[in-house]
Amino acid sequence: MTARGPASWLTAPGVALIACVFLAPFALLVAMSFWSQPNGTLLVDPTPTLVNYERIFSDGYYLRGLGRTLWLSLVTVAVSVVLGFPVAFWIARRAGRLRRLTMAVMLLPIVCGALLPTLGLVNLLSPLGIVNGTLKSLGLIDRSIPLLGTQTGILIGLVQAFLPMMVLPLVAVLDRLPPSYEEAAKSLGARPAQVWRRVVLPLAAPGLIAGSVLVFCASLTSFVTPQILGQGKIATFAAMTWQQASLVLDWPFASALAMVMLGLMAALGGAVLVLRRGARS
Amino acid sequence: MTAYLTIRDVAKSYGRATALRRIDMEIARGEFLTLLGPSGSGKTTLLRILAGLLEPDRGALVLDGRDITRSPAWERDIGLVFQNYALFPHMDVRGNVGFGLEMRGIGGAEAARRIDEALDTVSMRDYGARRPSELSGGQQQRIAIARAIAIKPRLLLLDEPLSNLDAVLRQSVRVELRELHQRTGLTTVMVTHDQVEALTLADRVALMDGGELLQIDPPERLYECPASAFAAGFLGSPPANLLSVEPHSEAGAIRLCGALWRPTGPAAAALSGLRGPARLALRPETLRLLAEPAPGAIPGRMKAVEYMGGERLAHVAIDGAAPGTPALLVRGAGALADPGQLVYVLPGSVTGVFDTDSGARLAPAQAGV
Repeated sequence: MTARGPASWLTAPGVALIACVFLAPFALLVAMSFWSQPNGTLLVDPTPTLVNYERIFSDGYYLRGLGRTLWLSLVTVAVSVVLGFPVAFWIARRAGRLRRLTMAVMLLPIVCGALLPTLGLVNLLSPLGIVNGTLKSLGLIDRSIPLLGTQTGILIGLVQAFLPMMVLPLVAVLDRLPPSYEEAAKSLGARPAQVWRRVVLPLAAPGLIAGSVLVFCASLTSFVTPQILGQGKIATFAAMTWQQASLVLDWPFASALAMVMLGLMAALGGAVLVLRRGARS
Repeated sequence: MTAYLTIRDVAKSYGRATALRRIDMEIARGEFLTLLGPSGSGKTTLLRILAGLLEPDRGALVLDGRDITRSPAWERDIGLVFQNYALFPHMDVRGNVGFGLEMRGIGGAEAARRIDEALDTVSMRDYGARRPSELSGGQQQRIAIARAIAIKPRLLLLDEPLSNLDAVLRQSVRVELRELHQRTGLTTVMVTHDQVEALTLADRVALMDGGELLQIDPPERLYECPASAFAAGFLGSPPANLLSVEPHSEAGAIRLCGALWRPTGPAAAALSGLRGPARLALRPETLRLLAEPAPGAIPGRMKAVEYMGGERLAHVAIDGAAPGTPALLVRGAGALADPGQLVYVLPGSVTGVFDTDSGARLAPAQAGV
């Protein structure tokens, strides 16, 4: 007899939980995005309509918010690739205590959640914070650089929060890349830059793609980090959604905003799948 | 011999661990040399230094009149076949074989012709469109060789190329490697820890241990006339018996592992100059088992007989030997005696007499240069 794991009925609670607290509310969200809420009332009209989507794609405020959020997410991905690749490669080529320690440090942002490190960053980045203080005492600047309430500040927060999501999949891929691939390429006449372009990068691509998708989706939907570091001055798409749901109390419109974010992620996921299938054939 | 590749005074350490002590070697054009030794002997380190993947702490490498000591790997034109083959998994067979040509700016029809040529050399022409993952271990190895020879290397390096193949395949690939070498005439250096591979393939074998080159000689000479006790005890299956010998007060007699022995023939000649304790190497296949005493035979008791298919390996405890003396191994076809029986072991040729401390050869003198 083959080992079949726990009996099937033992999976029921877990599956049921996901079904009840994730799938059901999610389905409601999808449906609600096609409802409407007449101005000045809190009553919902469940007649199917595209009015919420029309509003998002015709109002410059939301389009600009969408563009800003996309831009922040893409830059976060780019910076994470540049910072994460060397770290991942370094980890993959090490063994023992130093490797475990570096991995643990890279995992910290995930373990700590969003709030704690972000509040720490506020101290670091504020006009009277450590970064500006140090730069001033070194005489490099005489007026504080505005970091809080700017896109730069948000970017710093997003990268520190999501860099592990780039590094971990990359380490997983690079771990399975024996050094002899690079050595073989070298012995065949490839210079270091060619070794990277023709051998390391193509073989690391699955990890780069996985990491990029993870960082992109996490940045796109991130709420706490941009909200705190942006000090409410920079509205991201997630913040707009939260405003509509919690302040304006227009749930159908908030649902539509959430659907747009979701659509973006689904489109990205689909594009990656198509690309991978294309690369394989 | 005019040297094609000269390795001069090469040494390498990792921190406090010495990998290579001081290596001097000359290899002729077209020669097939194997680096043989146990793990940790420094053979792989030397191969990686030749390939340019490791930098020696000191010393020089001269290949075909050009000092390549400081040349980076990608400028050396040295073909390298890895133990794990290291075929690029994201390229098909032709992509792999053509990689070195592409790096040299060779493309189009010229590249296609040379890829075909390399694939023909290893009889893999029809596999060009396959991915490495779609090939068996033996096929991957052929492609790895094709990839290395497609660049028309000035030197071909093989790092334990047969160790990942099963026993049957290993033998046929061994023959193919030898044929490939004869056809291409490429100067080849192969690392192996398998003495059969080393002896069957090589023009000369470089025996290494502890980061040092112990002996570099043609296979027959290395086997029959080892320069050190280590060489005698490393080569052969089973390797040579190494027996402690001392002069005896009685003329013509020897103290063999503490027991009295009166050698005759080649053994007597080899031991005639014995001045102090030494070690006598006798290969198991040169010994004869007798049922009756004979002049020059060593009396002993049969401890065990192992049937090895076609022949037997007898373990003989030398009569009167000091406690802890290992059994004398005798290899032959005869099924002479049952365990416990008294037997007589008659030595034929002597593999060597070696200094007890240094392991250096004392007698008989090595023939030739």
